[in-house]
Amino acid sequence: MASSKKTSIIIKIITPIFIFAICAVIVAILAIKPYNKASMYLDIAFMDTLKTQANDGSVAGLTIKENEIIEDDSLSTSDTGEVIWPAFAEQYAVLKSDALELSIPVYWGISSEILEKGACQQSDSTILGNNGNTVISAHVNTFFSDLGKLKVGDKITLTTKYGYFTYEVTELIEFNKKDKKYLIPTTDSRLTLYTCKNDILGATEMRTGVVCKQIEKKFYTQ
Amino acid sequence: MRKSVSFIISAIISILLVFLVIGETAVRCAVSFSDEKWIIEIIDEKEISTKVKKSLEKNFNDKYNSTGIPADVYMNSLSDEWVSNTVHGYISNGMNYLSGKNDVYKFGPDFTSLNKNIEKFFIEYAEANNFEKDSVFEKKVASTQKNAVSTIKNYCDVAKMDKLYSEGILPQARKYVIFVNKPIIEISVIALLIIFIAILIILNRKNIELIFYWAGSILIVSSAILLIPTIYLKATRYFDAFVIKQEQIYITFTSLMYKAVDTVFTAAVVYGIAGIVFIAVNGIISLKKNK
Repeated sequence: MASSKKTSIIIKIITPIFIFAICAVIVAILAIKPYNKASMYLDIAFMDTLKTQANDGSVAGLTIKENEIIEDDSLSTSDTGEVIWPAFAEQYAVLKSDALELSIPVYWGISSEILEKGACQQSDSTILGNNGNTVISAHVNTFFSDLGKLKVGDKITLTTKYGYFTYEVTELIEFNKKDKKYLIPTTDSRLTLYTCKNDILGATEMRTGVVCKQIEKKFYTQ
Repeated sequence: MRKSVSFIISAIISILLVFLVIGETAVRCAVSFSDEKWIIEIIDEKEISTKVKKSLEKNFNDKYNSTGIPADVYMNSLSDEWVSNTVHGYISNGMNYLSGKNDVYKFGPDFTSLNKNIEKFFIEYAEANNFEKDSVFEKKVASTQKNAVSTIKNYCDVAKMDKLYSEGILPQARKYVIFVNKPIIEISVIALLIIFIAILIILNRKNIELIFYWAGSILIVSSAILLIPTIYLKATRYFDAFVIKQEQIYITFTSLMYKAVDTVFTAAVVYGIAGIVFIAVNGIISLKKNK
């Protein structure tokens, strides 16, 4: 009798702990996507010239970016001009498209840390403004979550501090990550955007994206 | 029904009720936070408009050496009331768009007085120094007006509504906010809460102390799940690490975030205390039964 009472008390104590463990795990799993989205929104909202970096160069939780990208349609432009080379890990462009609902910060160089902040351009691919293949990638669960919405004919604009460049989607692509055929240099000016192909079990070896041809190239003259 | 089966079913229902309690807290918070009043209260409490005006004055004073334009040219058109109305206007416009009260995001402060002051300054300067008022002069006036308007807008938009809208975030967030604000959502959550609580009561009607036990467990678990992240955010002063050049935007952003965290924290504490009370009642009834 006494031992069954003891057992009953132990069960009563363990049950809420067990319920807590199950609920906490489920909440943590469900919170991953909203947390990634919220972080991405904050990164996008604060990618402007009004910020400054913390003295130690890193900030807990939220990343601060300082850039001189100009998004002003009224500035005078020319079809020729000079590119301004960014530093590694510097945000040097903003990618926008009517087909994508968000503006995406684009960084120069690629690493796991930079991929957390925005889309990354491979520094061995052509810089915006020069002729060749500009290759930009990002994570499928954050900045390029809407890449699959792009269709042939959609326009994409990339704005930098030295000009803006407009492309039109010409091809939807899918390739194995070991296959570099879409990432190699080209003689024509094009933009290649890609990300991981997702399936139910997570990211696969396949990559998916778009190839775009350049339709407008404008350098700021002021 | 056997006691053990009833206990297991009650445990499963408790897990569902924990999510419903957390869900109702989230919906209630989202509904409250989509109203502009709470942001405007913080703006007024922290005297943000005064800080905006001081920051603008400092900005124009700092730029005097390079522009040659005294700060008074700009500041004479920016009364305390104008600045306050503009700061509030950005918040109201943004929140009304976000919550679905307005279908269009459009807010344009009146810069007539500012533009006139700048033009007057340039005309007087040109006349005093015999400068020709040619197309270069007109361009200079226009670009000065444009830069001033842009600077003042950036400073007054303390919650960065313009930026959030132009980068597509406000329209995206709007979809979720409008969905959550639909009365049917909260009614559904409350209805489910009532149904599952009723099932729990029916299952344990012969052992009334167990009803208090399950109620207490549900509230304590809900409290713990909400407390862990809120205590972490408060203890580490998480949002203070966000370094922003402009004091008013920094204060607005961090105040809003901490207010949201404090609201959830308070709800979690209330659940925790209620849960402990229910467990205590369960204990008292069990003791009396055993005597």
